Amino acid sequence: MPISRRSFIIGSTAVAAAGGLVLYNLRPRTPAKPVFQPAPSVAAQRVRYNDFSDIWREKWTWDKVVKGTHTRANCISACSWDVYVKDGIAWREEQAAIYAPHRPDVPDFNPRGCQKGACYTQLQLAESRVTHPLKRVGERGEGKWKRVSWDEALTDIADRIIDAAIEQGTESVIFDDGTTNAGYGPESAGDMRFAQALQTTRIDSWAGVSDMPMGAVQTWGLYNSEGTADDWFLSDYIVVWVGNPSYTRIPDMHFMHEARYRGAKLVVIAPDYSPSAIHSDLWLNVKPETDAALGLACAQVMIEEKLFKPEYVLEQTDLPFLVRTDNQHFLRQSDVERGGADNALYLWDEVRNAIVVAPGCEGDGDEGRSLALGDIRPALSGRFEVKLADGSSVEVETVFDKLRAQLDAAYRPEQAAAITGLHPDTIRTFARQMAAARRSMIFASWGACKHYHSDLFQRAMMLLMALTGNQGYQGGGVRIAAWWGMDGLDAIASQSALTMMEKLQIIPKAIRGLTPRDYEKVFMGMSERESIVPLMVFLYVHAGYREMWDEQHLQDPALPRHLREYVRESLDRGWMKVYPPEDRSPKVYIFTGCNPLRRWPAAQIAREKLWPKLDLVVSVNFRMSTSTMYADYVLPVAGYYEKYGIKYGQTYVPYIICSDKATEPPGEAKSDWETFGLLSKYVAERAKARGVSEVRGFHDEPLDLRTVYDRHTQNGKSDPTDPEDPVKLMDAIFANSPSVGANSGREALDMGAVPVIGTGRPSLIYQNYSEYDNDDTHWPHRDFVEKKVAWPTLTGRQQFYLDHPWYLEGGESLPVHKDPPLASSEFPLRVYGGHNRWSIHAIWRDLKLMLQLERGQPVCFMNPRDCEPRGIADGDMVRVHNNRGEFECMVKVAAATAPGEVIVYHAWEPYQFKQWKGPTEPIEAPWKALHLAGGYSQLHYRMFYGAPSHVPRGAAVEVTRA
Amino acid sequence: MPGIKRQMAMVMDLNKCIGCQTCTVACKTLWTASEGMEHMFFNTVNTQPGEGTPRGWEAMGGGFPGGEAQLGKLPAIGEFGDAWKYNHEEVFYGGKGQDVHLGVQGEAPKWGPNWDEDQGGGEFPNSFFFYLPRLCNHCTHPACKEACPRGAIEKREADGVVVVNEDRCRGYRHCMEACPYKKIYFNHVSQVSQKCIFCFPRLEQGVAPACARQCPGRVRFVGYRDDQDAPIWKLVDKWKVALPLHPEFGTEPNVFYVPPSAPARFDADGRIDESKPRIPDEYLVSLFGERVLEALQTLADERAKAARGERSELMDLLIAYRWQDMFGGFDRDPQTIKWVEA
Repeated sequence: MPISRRSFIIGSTAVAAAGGLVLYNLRPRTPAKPVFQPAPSVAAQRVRYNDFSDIWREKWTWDKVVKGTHTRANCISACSWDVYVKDGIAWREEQAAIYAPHRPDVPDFNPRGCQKGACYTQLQLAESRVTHPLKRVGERGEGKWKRVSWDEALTDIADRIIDAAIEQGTESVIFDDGTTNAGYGPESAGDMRFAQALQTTRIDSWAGVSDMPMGAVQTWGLYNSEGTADDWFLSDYIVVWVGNPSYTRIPDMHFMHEARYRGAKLVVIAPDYSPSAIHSDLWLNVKPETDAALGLACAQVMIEEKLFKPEYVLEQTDLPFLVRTDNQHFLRQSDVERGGADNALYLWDEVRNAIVVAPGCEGDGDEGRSLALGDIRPALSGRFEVKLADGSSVEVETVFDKLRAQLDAAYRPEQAAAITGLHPDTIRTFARQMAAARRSMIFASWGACKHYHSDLFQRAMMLLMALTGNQGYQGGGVRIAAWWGMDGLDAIASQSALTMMEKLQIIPKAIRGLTPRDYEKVFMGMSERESIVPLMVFLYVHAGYREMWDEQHLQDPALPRHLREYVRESLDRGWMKVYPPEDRSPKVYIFTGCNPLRRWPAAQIAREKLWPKLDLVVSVNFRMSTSTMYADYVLPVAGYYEKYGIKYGQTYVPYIICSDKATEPPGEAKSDWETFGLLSKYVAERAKARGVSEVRGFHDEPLDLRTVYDRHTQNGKSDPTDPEDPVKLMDAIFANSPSVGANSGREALDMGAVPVIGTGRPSLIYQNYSEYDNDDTHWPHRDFVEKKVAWPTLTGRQQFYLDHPWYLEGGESLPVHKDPPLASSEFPLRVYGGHNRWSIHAIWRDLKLMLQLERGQPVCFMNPRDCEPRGIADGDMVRVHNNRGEFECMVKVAAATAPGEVIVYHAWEPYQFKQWKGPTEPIEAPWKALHLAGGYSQLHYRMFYGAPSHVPRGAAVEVTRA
Repeated sequence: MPGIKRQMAMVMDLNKCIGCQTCTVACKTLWTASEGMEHMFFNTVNTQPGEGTPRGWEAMGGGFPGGEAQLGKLPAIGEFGDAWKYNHEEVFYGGKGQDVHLGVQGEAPKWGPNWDEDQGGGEFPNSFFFYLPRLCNHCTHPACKEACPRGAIEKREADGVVVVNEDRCRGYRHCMEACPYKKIYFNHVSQVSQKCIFCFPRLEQGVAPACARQCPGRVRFVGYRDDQDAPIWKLVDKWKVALPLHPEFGTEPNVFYVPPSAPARFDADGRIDESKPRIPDEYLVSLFGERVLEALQTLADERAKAARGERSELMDLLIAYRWQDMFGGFDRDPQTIKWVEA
């Protein structure tokens, strides 16, 4: 995931400004760092050949062992490996397996790792490896290349960047790291500094890779919600909902299975009998796209049978909030008092028998800091008359009553059965078990955001975890993802994130203690100061996708207006931004690691409409991807074991994993840090040589191209051409990160797995709002339930009612079930999928060893009931097609696949298909207009946080024998 | 056990196996990466029910069914699945654009070591499958050893590991016919039979086999068969929940499996139906023998006990709170070994 320099800064500036004052929940604990002691080595004799058995013994010998990991694979796991080096080659890797347990009664994390990590040594030297700068000499995508020197490549690239900047400003230079290339160390610092020094447009792909849990943003105002994976072991009822952790959480899955052995139940909700369902106690074969209906039916059961926890609901949710029955908006202070705040909302207090402003809501008069109810006893249910400022009266009711009425009207299990295909008894059993368990959790694989109405699924899941009082507790709640904070990551950036004004503004707040709301505001300010554009908006405006997404069959029939009107309104109001501006064109596209022509929906559109607009396409990669084949230049970077790096740290394991340099890169490949440093350097030098100085930068402010490299290096503080420079950068990162146990870059590299020993200063982008304690498992959102910190939403609660006008007109003010637009398509089958077992994204997809363990080529899974009438047999080649596009692959006829589904797992390279027509060609990924909403507390765009989702699931197709 | 001092053994918990094949890859990169070994996987994982690797191996014969040696079929390389060749160079640098795509060159592949992955059996929604990892069973009564006219198959005295003496092997491949589990491969370059060596060079240094030590699912227990303080003996002999695969083959395997359970099945109306299991009993009996039903009952009873908050030694063993405790003392961290010249 992309880590913004700016997000690192928030915490540090705030704490610096506060001058060490006690900040409630936000002050990092800083225990002393232990000194690292490597495990003592044991001498063992190499053998001389005596008999056959010594051949085997000789195979298992090595010259040295170096710690490594797969820093830029964008795998959410982080696993420390020992890289065994033999004869100057990284020969083989084996898990380091040095993780300590949190508690005696909880299993340890060892050994972690997966089969991809276990053969990266092969991928690093495979056929797809790029070792020299290449220049295209044929047509794009033709595969005609010329090997050129770095100097020749960089000179030409720099000149063409300068040309574009002169013509249309630097916003016409697009930099895209997908999310594939993020790291916590020097491997990401280079491209981040390059993009910022040059003020390029940056693509925000977080939602573009379909990983933006919008339902969480809508409900909680945040989406980071995970702890350490061993916390799952302490759950009594684990629900895997829209996910396949047996493929995607290989290092962590054992905790779920081990939890079963201590008596927990494992439930898997999936249309297909998925590889994760096989070890469950209950599998719910819900019909695709109907998960919200299942969740809401469970809520109906819990409320009707009084299985919910009223105290939790009254304090932690908006269900007791008052809504006007005349206009369906929350009752606001501005309704009741002249000049009242429009973000002060009300509860009905049963003690006073009167309305009372809800503590913790955005406009509570105390900056919405604490949701503690004090002596207020909110009514959960009831209708009340309230006198308005104009003298009239209005009737109000609670969100709870609105919700209950809706559930009783439309989501009784019998009604949900007709939608979901599940038996009503099964739904009731599931709801009762979930409510009865001491602790229930929902594992929602990174939020499970790839369906059109994923946000509604998520809102339903969160509702269940709120009704049962699980969110914020050990072994409980909806689990999505979270990150470890490392304060020293400031060093990655080249410049300060906060303006002087912001620093001045934050001091008084910091003295009182910063809240999630404060971080949100700071983060928004930073999001406004860079030309960063959500991918879907970029594709709509600049890449030719407007025509497709505007088509009638991709519109949500429940919305009164057409997508184009929502887009227009959102752009005009500034809720969404687009760079370069609508009247200009992208000219240069530089991407690293990511593979847009593999990932983007109906990628043929980008090839046909966007690519011709680009004067220059540069791929910075270690391997030949499909998108790289369509580049003008390929700059070869070092493999993961050939450079220094810090893997981004998701919280599954309480360690920061570092990667040492095991060998030098082959050929002329260079580290990312050096490569992007050189790009900045050449731009500056060519600008000087050509006499170019100021061009239009961000928002057309003047930008001096001659000083790009000075900005990149902080006026010479770093020297990307020095091979050891990355270690110096890591020194700065670790020395300034009290929350992790390494003192320097070198020590961290020797450790491989650097233990987390405390809580980093918060950042909106990481924060799970729980302190880390290494004597216990770690779980999210403790601060809200234990310290009564207000959630960063309008209501200061987990908010299930959204009175944004768009949500009201779209019928989504409360969580509901809606069919996606393609439900009514004439094409009978639906394409589903998920991350695959055999590759991290496309990176391992063409590796022979991995292909050998599949069928050697792309496949789809189909049920026999769909195959027989079509005359399709196992192993047949088929054409998967609709009016948008098509691709061909081999069929696996599988009893485990649900009828009606065509399962195509993630990330085959288009060049593995006939005519390079990859599996996204028929994927139209209709766009949910409500995600463009803004201007409402938690509903608005901020980078990496709350953007319209790419929703590839459920494409409507037909399948015929090829 | 005749002729050997001790016997190494392995127990694999099929309720924890997620089919990720890290074991397969760990073994592959360590032992079978060289020429002539491209198609070999000493360790495989297959989706059951399925035809497995080599294709249809369970019906190929061999071993001692009913106590008598049976002549088995010699599996062909195509039945294991050959190491396919690809046209990366042509696609990336051939200048042919979209007219060529990356794919297997030569004859279209018809089978591979994991060809029927995740397909399963039964009828939706009562489909079922599970993963079955396999390696050489290092049998107490190895059919391969008995079948070799050269005496080239040895059972190591120290640990009972069955190895092919490649100095003696002449490539007759009678071992491949005789092994009822079909876990022996033929090296067409060096013209010898090759198979899992239970990582004996690692055992000699106190390190668990790669497939076990590298298993992220924490599926595999390793140790001496008779070590009463370690998990193997407890799971196999004390709790009797770990069973050999196809005991009727008569070779007395030293690899054992904790049999799998599965989620509840549905009746015709879609209600949860607990009157019978999703994985048919007869299917599990066909794999693990009659004792499998008793083992499943023991597992269910002990799990219920744990759910009531009572202590269960069996559940604690299977949880494996400390990963290193799974390896019966073979728990040295290999990176601490520093090789010195002899």
